[in-house]
Amino acid sequence: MRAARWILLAAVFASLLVLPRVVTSYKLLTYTTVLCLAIMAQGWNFIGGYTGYAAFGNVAFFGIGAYTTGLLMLSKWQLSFFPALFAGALLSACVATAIGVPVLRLKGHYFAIATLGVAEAFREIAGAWNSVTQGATGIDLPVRSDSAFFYYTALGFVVAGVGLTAYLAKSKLGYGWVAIREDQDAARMLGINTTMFKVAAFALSAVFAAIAGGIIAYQNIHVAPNDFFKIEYTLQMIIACVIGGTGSVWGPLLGAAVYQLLSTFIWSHFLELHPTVLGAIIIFFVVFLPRGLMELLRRLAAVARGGRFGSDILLANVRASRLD
Amino acid sequence: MTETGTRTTDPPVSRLPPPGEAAPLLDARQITKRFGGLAAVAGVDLAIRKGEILGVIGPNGAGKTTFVNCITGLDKPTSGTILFRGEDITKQPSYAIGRLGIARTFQVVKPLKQLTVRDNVAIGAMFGARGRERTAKQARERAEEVLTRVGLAHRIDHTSSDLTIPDLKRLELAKALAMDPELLFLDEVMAGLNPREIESAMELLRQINRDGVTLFVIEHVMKAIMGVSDRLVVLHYGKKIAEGKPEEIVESPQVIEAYLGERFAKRAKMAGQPERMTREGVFLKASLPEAEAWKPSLPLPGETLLEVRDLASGYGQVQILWNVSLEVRQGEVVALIGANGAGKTTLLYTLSQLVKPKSGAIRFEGRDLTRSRPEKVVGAGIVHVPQGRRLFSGLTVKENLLQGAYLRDDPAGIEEDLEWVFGLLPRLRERASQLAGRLSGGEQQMCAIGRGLMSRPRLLLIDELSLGLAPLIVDHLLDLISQINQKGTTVLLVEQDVQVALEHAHRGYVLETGRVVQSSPAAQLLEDPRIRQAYLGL
Repeated sequence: MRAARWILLAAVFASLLVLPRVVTSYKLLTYTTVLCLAIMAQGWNFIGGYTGYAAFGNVAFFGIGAYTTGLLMLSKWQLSFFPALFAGALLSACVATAIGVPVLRLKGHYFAIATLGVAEAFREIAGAWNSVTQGATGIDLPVRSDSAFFYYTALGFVVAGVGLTAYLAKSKLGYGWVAIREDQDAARMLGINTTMFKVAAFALSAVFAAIAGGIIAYQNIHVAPNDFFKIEYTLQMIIACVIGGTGSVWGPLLGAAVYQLLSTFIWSHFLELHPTVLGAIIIFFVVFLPRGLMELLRRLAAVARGGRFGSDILLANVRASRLD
Repeated sequence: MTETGTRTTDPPVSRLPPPGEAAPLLDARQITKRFGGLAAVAGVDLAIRKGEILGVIGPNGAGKTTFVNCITGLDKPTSGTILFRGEDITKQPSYAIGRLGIARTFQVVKPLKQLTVRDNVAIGAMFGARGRERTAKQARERAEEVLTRVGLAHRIDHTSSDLTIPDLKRLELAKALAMDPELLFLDEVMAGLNPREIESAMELLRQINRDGVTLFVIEHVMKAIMGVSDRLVVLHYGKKIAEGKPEEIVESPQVIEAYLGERFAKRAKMAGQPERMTREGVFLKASLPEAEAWKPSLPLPGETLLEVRDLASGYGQVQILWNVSLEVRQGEVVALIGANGAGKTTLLYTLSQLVKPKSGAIRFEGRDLTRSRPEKVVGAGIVHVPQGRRLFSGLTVKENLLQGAYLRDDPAGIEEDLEWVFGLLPRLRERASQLAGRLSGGEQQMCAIGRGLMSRPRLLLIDELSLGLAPLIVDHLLDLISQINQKGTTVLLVEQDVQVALEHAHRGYVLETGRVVQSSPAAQLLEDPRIRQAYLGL
């Protein structure tokens, strides 16, 4: 079973590696976008999935990453892409820490709304700070038309993200996050410095969002406030996590792929009803698989080993979503 | 030679205090915690000696859990100082207190639900006093040792949300133990265990104590706390009213007063009954054989308003009420009394359908309300003034009162009743535009009763009228109940203070472990020695 899993993983990874050789460079752009969505979702998974804080403003860090990367490459130092990208990630982490310390004291929907507000504030700042961001016009980055470069860069970060998530999930940090999600008071009494752990998760999620933002900025050449601070990005990372399975190692990646697949499929079949159908599917996931596709896969694996599927647990999931 | 010389001329100043009076492990001085107008803990001095088992008892709302919350940093005390091993920890955050070697369990268990039992405990081992010495993997191994010790090893790979209540209590203990505490606060870890399990839990606590852990045990199971404690402290209304050896405490008139109410204790004295309870008396259970269980016999004036037959109810798999039958007649005030956990509140919740009955029947004015909905029950004329008041704290007093008239559509009548309520409770008129959350405890209780009256109830259910209120306010509220009753509203009153309840009721029911064990006219119950046993002898 274990071997089969590794063989499957190796096959998927190999096909991902050879993908740029078999598809058009235009198609490759789409795949890069999916990988970037996976990176953001992996980041959101730390704060939203493991720690259980529904952050609705992670697009702020996506935008900060995009702008910082672009501006540093255009600056008098003319930084090359990777140093600029890491600088953007670092700045995002600092901003997330500064915002996180007060905002992470809020719980539930108060936290969600506060983060939403923070993201909107950054969009306004990017639009108004003409001397640096050139306002609503935005900035133009140096052109690099090598689509395989972007693809491999994004793939590299996705792999690193999976590795990091797998490591952290079994670390003290990961255990601390989950304890906070399950019961913050209990976590405190167990000796967990909840503020520090939450801020760490938030900052880490910002790093991932900033990296995705930097890659997409460089690929798209143009960075403008309304494109890089739009709430759709936040929603997409959350949806990807929910579909794949929050608080799981592979969930964000799987969810990002499935979301993109579904979205494309629905575009081509139900053009006019696209948002409606997509919405209905998301509701389906939230209600029947609140723990995502990874949970479904675990169930199927259990059946393959000769166990039960346990549809009663599925119903328990539904009940746990407090549907009366 | 010089030594002797020094001794005669100048008595030695011993650096070490004499044995038995060593500096306490934890020294809490003048701890006060206020919530709005209510002091849940009021100036408590309490020292915990190294190596002892200190038991803490006190009626509901005595401030026991709040005190532990203050010590463990979950609530910040309004004033006071806490020293642990001589070091001031008053302002320390709770995680730091946990790492210093203070652990606790929660009365309302707090398992990390989606995690396995092992991971729950491993987290304690990871972040507790010796957490830094362990890797995550070692912590998981340590979890196994601890779980074996508390007898939960067979559940190690279960998700903690699948556990039963007794197992969840064990898990609470295991999580705390895994933190390698020097001082452990146990908040009702034995509630819900059967007598045999209590025996083994007591033995486990003694073992843990022998291994060098100082224990602070809050427990309502009297037999257990008397059996394990070296010393007992009694809290009442947020104050420490007694402290001493268990055998001294059970004979203290103040403790009897705390549990049964001031007037009851006085009456017991006047009637020449022994106000000293023997230890056996405390343990004696006032249970009646099934056959002798009470059946309504005395015909009383007034038509039957509420009739409850063989009601069973509870939460999830935990059954609280067993075959409860009672009736309330038009125009009566009926008191429902019984010890903590007897099921009084659950009975009211079941009557108002916030908890669904498992079996039995509830009839109100001939209508079947067994399988109804909370809003239908209100519509039928039963209004519940819940324990803890449950006011809308962000709304003003007047808005709260008007919410009580939610189901009515006679503006003139509502206006009239609002005047009536303001007339009954002039304090509420003064505070009409204040936020309910800002009221004092007594005013909140008035507002809750006022809100209940605004729907013109036929039957008013009041849960713990006097809880946390000063005697003067309680008297005022009781007069109010009498006035309301004389105006034709029937009242079912759950009350902790037995004397208060029975003096103002026509009849009383005694509930014990979810069963009605006695029912008589209130005056007869007042004289009955078994009442004390029902309260103190669980």
